[in-house]
Amino acid sequence: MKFDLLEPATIGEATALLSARADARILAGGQSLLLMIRSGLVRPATLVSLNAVGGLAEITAGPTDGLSIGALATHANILASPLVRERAPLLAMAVERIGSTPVRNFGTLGGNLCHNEMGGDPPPALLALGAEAECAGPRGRRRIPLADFFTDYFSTALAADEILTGIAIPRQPAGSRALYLKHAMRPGDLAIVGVAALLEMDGGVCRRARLALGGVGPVAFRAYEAEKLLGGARLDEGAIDAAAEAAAAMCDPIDDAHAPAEYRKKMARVFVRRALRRAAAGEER
Amino acid sequence: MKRIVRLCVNEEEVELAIEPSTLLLDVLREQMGLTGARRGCESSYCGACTVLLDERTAHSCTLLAALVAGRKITTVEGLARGAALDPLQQAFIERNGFQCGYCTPGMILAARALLLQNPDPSEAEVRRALDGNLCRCTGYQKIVESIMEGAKHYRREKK
Repeated sequence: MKFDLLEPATIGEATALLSARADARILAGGQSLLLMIRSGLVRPATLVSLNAVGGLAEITAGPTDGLSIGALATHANILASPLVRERAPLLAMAVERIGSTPVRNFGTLGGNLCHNEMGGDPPPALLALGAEAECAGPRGRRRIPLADFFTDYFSTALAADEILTGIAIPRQPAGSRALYLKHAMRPGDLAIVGVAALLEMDGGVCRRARLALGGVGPVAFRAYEAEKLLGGARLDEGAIDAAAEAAAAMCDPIDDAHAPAEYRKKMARVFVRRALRRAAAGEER
Repeated sequence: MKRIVRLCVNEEEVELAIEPSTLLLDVLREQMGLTGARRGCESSYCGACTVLLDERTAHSCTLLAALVAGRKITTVEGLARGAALDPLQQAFIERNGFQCGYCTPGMILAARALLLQNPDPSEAEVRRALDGNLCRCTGYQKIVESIMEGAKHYRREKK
């Protein structure tokens, strides 16, 4: 393991370094990247640490009651934030399930999203929250809806010289019920399936639903087909079963050391059903 | 190319020449002789390499030493005051909180990080705080008992 380590003081300097050096990678908390370098999966000649760039770890109230989370906010920062608990408890539920305490102490939200490993916990939660990625590059800043951010295994829509600087989460509809459920063999593992559900309920009727799944395809995704079935429906067992079926049909899982594809797909159906049942019943845990 | 970094380890400032890619674990063990941070899985699972960074648990196998300059690093060697062991160390001895001992420094430091924040944890909170530390001998019961015992002393000291 050998590389050069640069510590620019601004985002502008950091993107300039990425433009100038094709073999450079951004280093955030290092909880995934250093392991990948160690095991020889990637061999960047230069790491550009964002450590010295100020203001990237802040969690602030966004405009119109939303939430803005800096890319370098650690998972521990997010869990300790009353603002997150109040405005995006769904994200806190997902972040709580990441790795272990030391990993959460140093791993960052931005790092997690850019690493984009199958079965990560924040992606489905942020998709259900309708979040956007705030990016900066030599050609300026832009926002990417999170649904367009994850492009393939370990890949994102960021250009080689672009940096994710933060995540914007819009205000959630009043009275919405949200829940993240994770299936894994050991608590800190990547999810075999992770389900984030956010329901706007009106009595027993679901006015609008957002449902996102991770671990069951190349990238986390919104289960739009299931959402369509849920919108306007009374959430009885029949409607929940139909939605779970539709969500499972959208899955495109792989076999790996943790679970075969067929099992992942089956579990997707089971966990979507559970998530919807519990969210509809107002069990926000 | 090597660079000079100032690390604050166990309340002592040290200046070391290191490669930018050097891990904190290697600096502690190879350059400073602090072998309480153990080499285990080297992939941030087992927690044998646990140290405290500003009083929070950290896996030193997954941190670049150059990036923790100026922060307060504590290894198990930094806990005793002269001949007096830390109450957690004492409790691990009295309650047989270890067998082979390989995971013990990490367990004690993870417990210390918890007790500094919450000196009156439930058993469930103790188990949760050990989620980054594996033991392959004891089955955790004695470890949890040792920490619950050590916590009594932390509470007394805090008063």
